[in-house]
Amino acid sequence: MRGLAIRTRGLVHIYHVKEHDVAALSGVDLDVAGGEMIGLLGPSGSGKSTLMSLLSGVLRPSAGKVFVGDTEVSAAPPRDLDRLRATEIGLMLQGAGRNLLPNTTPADNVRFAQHPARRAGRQLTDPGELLAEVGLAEHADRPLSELTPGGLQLAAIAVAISSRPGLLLCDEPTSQLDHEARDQVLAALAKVNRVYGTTVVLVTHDPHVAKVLPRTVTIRDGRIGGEGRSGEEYAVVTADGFLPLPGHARDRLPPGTLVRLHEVDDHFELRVEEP
Amino acid sequence: MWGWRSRRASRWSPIRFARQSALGHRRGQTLALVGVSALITACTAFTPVYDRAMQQALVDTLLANASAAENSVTIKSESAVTAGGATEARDPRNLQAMVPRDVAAELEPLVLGRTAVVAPVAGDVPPTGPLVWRDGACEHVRVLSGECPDAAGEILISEADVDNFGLTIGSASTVRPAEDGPGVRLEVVGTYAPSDEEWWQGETLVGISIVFRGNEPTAAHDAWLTTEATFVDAPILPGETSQAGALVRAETAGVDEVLALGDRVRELSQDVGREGRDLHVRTEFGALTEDVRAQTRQAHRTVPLLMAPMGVLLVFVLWLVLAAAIEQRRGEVAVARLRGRGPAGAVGLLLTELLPVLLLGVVPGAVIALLGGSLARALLPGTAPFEAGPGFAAAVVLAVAAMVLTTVIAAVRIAREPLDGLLRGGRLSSGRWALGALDAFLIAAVGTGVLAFVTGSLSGPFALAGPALLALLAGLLLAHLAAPTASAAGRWLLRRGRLVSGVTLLETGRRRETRAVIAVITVASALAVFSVDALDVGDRNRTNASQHDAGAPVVLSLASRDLDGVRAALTFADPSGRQATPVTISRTTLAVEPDAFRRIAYFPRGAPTDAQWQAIAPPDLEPVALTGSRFSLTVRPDAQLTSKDGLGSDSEVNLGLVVTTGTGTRRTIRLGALPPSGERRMLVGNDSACASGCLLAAVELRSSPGVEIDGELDLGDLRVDGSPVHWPSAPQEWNPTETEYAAISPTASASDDALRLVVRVGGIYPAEITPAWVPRTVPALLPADRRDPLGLEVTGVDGSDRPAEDAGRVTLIPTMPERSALVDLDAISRGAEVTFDAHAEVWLLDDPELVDAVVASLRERGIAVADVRRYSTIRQTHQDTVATWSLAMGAVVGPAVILIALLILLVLAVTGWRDRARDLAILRLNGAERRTTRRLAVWAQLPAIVLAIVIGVAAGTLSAVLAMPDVSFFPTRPEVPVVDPATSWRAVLYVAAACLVVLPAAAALAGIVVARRAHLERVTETV
Repeated sequence: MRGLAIRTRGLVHIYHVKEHDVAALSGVDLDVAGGEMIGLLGPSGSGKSTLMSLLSGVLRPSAGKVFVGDTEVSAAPPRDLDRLRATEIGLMLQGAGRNLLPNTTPADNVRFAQHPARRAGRQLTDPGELLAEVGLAEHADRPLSELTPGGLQLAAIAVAISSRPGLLLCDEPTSQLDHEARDQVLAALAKVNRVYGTTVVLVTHDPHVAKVLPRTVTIRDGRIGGEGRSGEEYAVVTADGFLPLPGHARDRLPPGTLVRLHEVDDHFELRVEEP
Repeated sequence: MWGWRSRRASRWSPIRFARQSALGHRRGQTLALVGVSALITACTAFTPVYDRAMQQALVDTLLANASAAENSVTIKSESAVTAGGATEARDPRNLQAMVPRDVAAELEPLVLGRTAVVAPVAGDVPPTGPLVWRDGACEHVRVLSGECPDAAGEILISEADVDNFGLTIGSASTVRPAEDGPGVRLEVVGTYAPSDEEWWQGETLVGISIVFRGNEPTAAHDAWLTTEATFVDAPILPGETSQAGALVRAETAGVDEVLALGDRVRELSQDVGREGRDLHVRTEFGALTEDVRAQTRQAHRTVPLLMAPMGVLLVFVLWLVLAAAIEQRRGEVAVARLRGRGPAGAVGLLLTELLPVLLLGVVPGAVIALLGGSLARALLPGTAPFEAGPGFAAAVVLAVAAMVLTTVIAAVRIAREPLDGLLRGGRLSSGRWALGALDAFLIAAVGTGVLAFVTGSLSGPFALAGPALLALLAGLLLAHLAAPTASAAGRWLLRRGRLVSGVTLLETGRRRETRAVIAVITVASALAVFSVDALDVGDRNRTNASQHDAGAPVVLSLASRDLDGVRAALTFADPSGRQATPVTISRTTLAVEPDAFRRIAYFPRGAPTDAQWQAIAPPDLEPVALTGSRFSLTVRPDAQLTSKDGLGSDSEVNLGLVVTTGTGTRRTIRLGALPPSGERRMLVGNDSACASGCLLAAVELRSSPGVEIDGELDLGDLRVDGSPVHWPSAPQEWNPTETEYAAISPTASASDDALRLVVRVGGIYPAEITPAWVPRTVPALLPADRRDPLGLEVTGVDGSDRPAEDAGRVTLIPTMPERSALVDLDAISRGAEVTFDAHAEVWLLDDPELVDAVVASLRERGIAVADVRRYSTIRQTHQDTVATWSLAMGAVVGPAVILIALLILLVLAVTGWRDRARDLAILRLNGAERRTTRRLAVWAQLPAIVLAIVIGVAAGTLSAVLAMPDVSFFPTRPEVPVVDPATSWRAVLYVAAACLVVLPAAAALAGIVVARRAHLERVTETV
C-alpha cells in the first residue's frame, strides 16, 4: 500500500479551559507526501500532540481543514473516522501502555487491533509474524507485564501497524527509553516506512531522534516555526505570508525590532533598521 | 517477509480475553460483581418466595384454628311443615351426589346425617334437644353403657341426661312429630360420651343438658344419637334436616387448593340454592378464603415496599460497582475506540467481560433466595412443604433484566464519551458545588416524592415508599455537599498545619468514590433504622393489642352473677387478694376492684395514675346494714302533704325499703301506706331475704300511675326485729333525687334522728331517694378519645344507664371498645342488682396452680367457668398474621442493607486500591513517614462514613416518625388505639451502633491493607 499524504490548511484548535480559551494551534499549513517520514518538534505546549490528534480525527479542529489521503478527516462523520482508524490510520499514543489492552499478550493485542480490518475483508499479516518483524517474536505470547519498556513500545508499534495503515502517527515513541530501546524503536519505524511505504509522522523531543529523520517540522506557539531537512534548519513562509524566525535569531531580534527585507540578486536580506 | 496465515489462527477471541481478565487479573472485582449480582437476585427472588411461605403459613394457621363451621362444607336440606302441606328433608345420599367430584377431592370423606329437635310429650318439664343420626356415629363416640342403636327408635343418651332426667337403659319416651299424628317412641339403649370432635364437624352433642327450675322451669337434653331408620320410619320431626358434609383436608390443602376450593364452594352454594328452596350449603369456608385473600393482598403491598428500597439500593450499588469497574477499563475502551471499534464495539468489549460475571452471580442468588424461603417456611407456622411459588422465575428474570439493563447503560455511558476525553482519562473532580444535570434531576424527582410524603400526600401503602425516598434525598444531598465542604475544610486545616486531618479531608473531597460511599451509607443506614424500627414497633403493637384483647394473663369467664360467691371463692384460692380479682362487664362498662385489678390487668398504653384510681372510688360512707326479717320505720307526713290522682282524689302512697342482698339481688321491703297527713305512724314490713344481711339501697315511694305527691315527709326510728338501726338523718347523708318526674330533697328535720324529705313526685314509676353511700353519679375512667356531648352515662350492673362523671382519661381500657368506661365495682354495684346484663369474669395471673385453685374454688360454690382466655393464646393469634410476617422482613432488610454498605466499601477498596496505594507511595517518596501514610489511609474515608451514618440514622428516624402511622401492623385496622407508632429508640440506637462499629472498622481495615501495599515501586506503575 502506498503511504497516505497529509495536507492541512489554516488549522486552528482552541481548548476551552474553565473560563479561558487557549489556542493550541493558530493556523497550521502542513503538507506531507505519501510515504514520507517526518518528525514534529517543538517545546512542550507548542501544539504537537494536538496536531497529531487532529490528524487522526481524535479531535476536530476549531477551524481549518485536515486531509489524509483523499479523506477530509476534519469533516468526516464518526463512523468514517472509526473505519479510518481501523484500517488507514495507526495512532500510537505517548506511553506504550495506553495503546495496549492490559492483562494480555502482544499477540492478543495485535489480534484485537486487526479484528475490525479483518471483518472488513482485509488480508492481514499473522500476529506472530508481525511481532517478529518488530523484534518481539519471543515475546508474542507473554504477558505485557513481563515486557521491558522498549518491548512494550515495540508491541505498541506492532499494534498500530497491524491493519497495514497508510499513515502511522506516533506521539513521543522514544520517550523514557534507553538508547538501545530507542534505536530499536526508530529502526522499527524506519522499517515500516521503508517496507510498506507507510507515511510516518512522529512527535519527539529528542534531538538525536530528530537528527536521523529526513524531515522535521518545528511547531512553535501553535504555528509551523521551521523545518529541518537533512540537518539543515529552514524557516517556512506561511500561507498568509508570515515568516517565523528561527530560535537563535529570535534571541537577537527581540519583539519590536524593526527590520527591512532587501531583495539582493537571487536572494533576500533581512536588515535591522535603527529607529 | 510479511507472510499470511489463515484467518482462523489469527482470530481475536473476546471470550478468552474476558475470561483471562475476569478470572486471571481482576478476581477481587469479579468476586464483588458476583456478590452484588447474587444479592440482587436473592433480594428480588426472595420476595415471591417469602410471600408464598407466608401464604402457606397463613392457610395452615387459619385451617388449624378454624372452627368446624369454617373448616367444613355441608349441604343441608330442611323439612318444612306449612298449612299447605309438608316437605320432607331429602335423602342425604342425594345431597352427597350434589357435591362435585373436584370439590369432594379436597374434602375428607363425606358424612351423611339427619337431625331433628325433639321433646318428650310427657313429663313435668320435658326436655328439648337434638335427635341426631350420623352414618357411623358409634365409631366416633365412646359407648359408656349399653349398646349402639341398631333399630328404629333406639337412642344413645349422655350421662348428663341420665343425671338430670333419670333416664336409664330401657327408658322409653314418646316425642311429638312436626305434624299432628301419633308420637314417635324412643327407647334408651345405652349411654355415650363424645370423642373425635373433628368428625362431628361442629355438631354440639353434650353440654346442653340442663334443668332451669323456678316460676317458668325449662329443660334441655343433650343430643340423642339414633339410627337413620328412626327418621325414615317416623313422620316428619320438628326441625328435621338431612345433610352431607365433610371437613376440608387440612393436611393436603395448599394455598392454591384452598383458594380454588373457596371459589368452588361459592359456586356450589349458588348451584345448590337453585336446586330447591330447602337446600343450602352451610359453610364459612368462604370467609376463611377471603381472609387469606385479604391478608395476601396486604402482603403483596407490604413486602415489595419493604424489599423494593433494598432492591433499588442494590441496583444503585451495582451501578457504582460497575462504574468503578468500567472506569478501570477506561483505557481498554480507549484502545478499542483507537483501533476503530466505535462505541458499539467498545460496549461489546465491556459487556463480554462484565455480563457473564453478573450472570454467574444469579445462580447463587437464586439458591440463597430458595434457602431463605425454605428457612422462612421452617420458621413460620404450619406444616405445608416449601414451595418456590409462581413468581420465583419471574423475579429471577426481573433481576437479570435489571442487571443487564444497568450494565448496558453503564457501558454505553463510557463508550459514548468522545475519544479525546477517553484518551485523556482524567477523573472528574467531585469537589464542585454546582449540580450536574443528572444529579439535579434525581434530587428534584426524589425531593418531590419526599415533599408528598412529608405533607401526607402519600397515603396508605405508598407511604411506605416515603422512607426510601427520604433516605435517597438525604443521601444525594449529603453526597453532593460533602465533597466540596470537605475540600474547603481540608484546605483550611492544611493552612493551619494540620497535615493528617487536612489531607484526609482534602482526599475525601477529591476522591470520586466519596459521593458513592456517602450516598450508599446514608441510604443504607436510613433503611436499616426504618426497617428495624418497624420490626420493633410492630412487636410492641402486637403486645399492646394482645394485652388489650386479653385484659390479663388469664381471664375466666363465669356462668354466674353471684359476685359475693365469686369473691368468697377468690378469697379462698388467693388469700393475698393480689393474684386474682373479679370484674363485671355491662355492655361497655368494665367494673373492677382497683387494688387488685391494677396489679393484674394490662394497660398497654399507659395505666391510670394513683389519683385517677382514687377518683373512681365510691363515697367513703358506711352503708345501712339490715339483718333480720321484720322492719319498721316511723313516718310522719307533713300536714300539707298531698297525693292526688288525675281527678283530684286522694290516693294512697306506699313506702318501701329497697335493699340488696348478699347474692346481688335487689328487692323492696314493703312497709305499707303512708298515714294521713300530719299523723305519725310506725310502718312495718316483713321479708326473710335479709335474714343473713342486706344493705339499704333506697327508700321508695310508690303510688298509682299518674298520682302526684307534693309535700314533706319525716322518716326515722328504723328498727330491724325491734332493734334500732342507725338511720342517716342528716341531709348530706342522702342523694337528692332530681328526675323529669320526681324531685325528692333531704332537708334538716326538727328531730335529730329523723330525716325530712321534700317530695314532689309524678309520673308512673316509683320514686326513690338513695343514701349517699350509693354514688349519685358514678365516677369513671374513660378512653382518651371518648366524647359525650349529651352527658356521660355508664351501664350499671343491672343494665340501667347510670349518670357518670369523667374521673380521668386513659388511652385504652382493657378489653373494652372505643366508647367504654372503667368504674369501681363497689361504686357501680352499691344499691344495684347484678342482672344478666352484667357478665362476671375473674382476671388472674398466669400461674397454673393458681388457675386450678380458682377454678376449683369457684366450682365448689356452684360457679362454672364458661370460658378461659389467655394472653399467650391471643398473642400467638396476633403473631400468626401476614402483617406480622411481612414486618419480620425488617429482621432481614436491616442487616442486609448494612451488609450492602459494607460490600460497597470493600468493592471500592478492591477496585481502587492501586490508585490509593500509588498516591500513598508518592507521599512516601516526598518524605512522608510510613506511620503518616498509614494514618492517612485509615482515616481516608472515616469522616465521610461517620457523617453518612449520622445523617442516615436521622433520616431513617424521621421517616419512621412520618411513615409508621401508615404501616399495617394488623390484618384489619384495630377499632381501638392499640397502635403506638412512636419511634423505638432502642432500635435506632442498636442500628446506629452497629453501623458505627462495622462500617468504619471495615474502611479502616481496608485502609491498613492499602497502606501496606504502598511500596515506592508503585509510583512507576503504568500497566
